[in-house]
Amino acid sequence: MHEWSIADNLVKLVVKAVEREGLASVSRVVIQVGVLRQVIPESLEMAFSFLAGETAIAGAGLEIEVVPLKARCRDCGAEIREGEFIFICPACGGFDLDILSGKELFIDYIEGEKGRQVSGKQ
Amino acid sequence: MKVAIKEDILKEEDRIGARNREVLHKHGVTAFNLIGSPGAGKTSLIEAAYRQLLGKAKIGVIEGDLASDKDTVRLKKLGLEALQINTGRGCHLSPGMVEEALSDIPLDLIDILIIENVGNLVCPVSFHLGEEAKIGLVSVAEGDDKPTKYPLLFREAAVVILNKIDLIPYTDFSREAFYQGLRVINPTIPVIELSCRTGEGVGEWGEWLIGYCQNLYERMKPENGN
Repeated sequence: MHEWSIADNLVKLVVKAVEREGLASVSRVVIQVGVLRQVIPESLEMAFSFLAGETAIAGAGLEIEVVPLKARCRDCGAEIREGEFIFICPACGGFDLDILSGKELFIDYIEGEKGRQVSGKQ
Repeated sequence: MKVAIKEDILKEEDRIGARNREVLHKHGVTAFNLIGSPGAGKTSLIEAAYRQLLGKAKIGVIEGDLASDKDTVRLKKLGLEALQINTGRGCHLSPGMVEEALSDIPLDLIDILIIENVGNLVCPVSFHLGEEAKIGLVSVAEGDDKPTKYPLLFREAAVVILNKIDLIPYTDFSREAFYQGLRVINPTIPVIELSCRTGEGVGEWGEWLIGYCQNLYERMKPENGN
C-alpha cells in the first residue's frame, strides 16, 4: 500500500514539471520501479489515476517500467543478474556487491501538449 | 512533446528525512527505525531496550500505528518519553509525520530515539525518516521464510532481531532455513536471537544499541574527518 504515498509524491512532481514547462495537458508519465521496492503496478496505477484526477494532469496514463535486480561483485567484477534475490556472487562467492539496479523509484519523462492556460513561465 | 524529468519520486520525502537527521544530530540523538510485522514484538523490544539501557542511555520513542495509543500508554507507564502518531489509513510512517513529532519530543533529554514503524515489512522500508539505521524485527511465530519474502528490509537493516525464540520447540520454525534465507539476502548482517518474554538474549540487544551509538560517535568526531 505504499503505492499511495509513491503516487502522491509522483503526482506532485509531475504537476510541478507541468507548470515549469508550460504544458496544457499530460498524456503519459513514464517511471521506473525497481523490483526490490515490491510495488504492485496495478495499485500504483490506480492510486496515480485517482490522485491525478483532482489536478491539472487528470487523465494522464502511467507507464511503469519494472527494473530487474542487477549487481556487480566488488571482489571479482562479475555481473549478477538474478531472477531471484540472491546477493552472493555466483563467480567467487563474494558478499561485497554493488547494486546497479532494482531499487529505482524514478520518473523518466512525461509527454504532453504545450498550451496557454497553465500559469508557469515558458 | 516529451519532457525529460529524471528525478527520484521520493526526493522530497528524502529531503525531509535528511532534515530530521540533522535536527537529531544537533541534539545528540541517534535514531533507529524499527520495522517488523504486527505482533512481532516491536513494543516489547523497546521495553527491553529501556530496561537494558537504564542508567546508560535515555530512550525516547515515536510510536506509529494506524489507530489507538495503546503502545504509547504502555511505554509511558515504564517512564519512557513516548509520542503517538496515528497514520489513519497510512501503512508506514512518513518523514513529514516524524518531523512534526520531533518538535513535541524533548530531544535534549534523550540519547536514543526509537521510531516504531507501522507493522509492515514492505512499505516502511522505502521511507527514510531520519534514522541512522533500520532494525529488522521478525519473530518465530511468523515463520522462517520472512527474509526471502521481504528482501529489501533484510538488505537495508543494520541488524536483524529474531524474537520469541522460546517458541521454537512448539513450532515448525527452522533456524537452518531462516539463516539460509537470510544469508543469501544479506550474508554479513548481525542477528540477535532473543525472547522478550523470557529475557533470554535481551542483554545482547542492549549491547548492540550502545555499541552502535558508540561507533557512530567515534566516526563523527571532528578529528576523524567528515
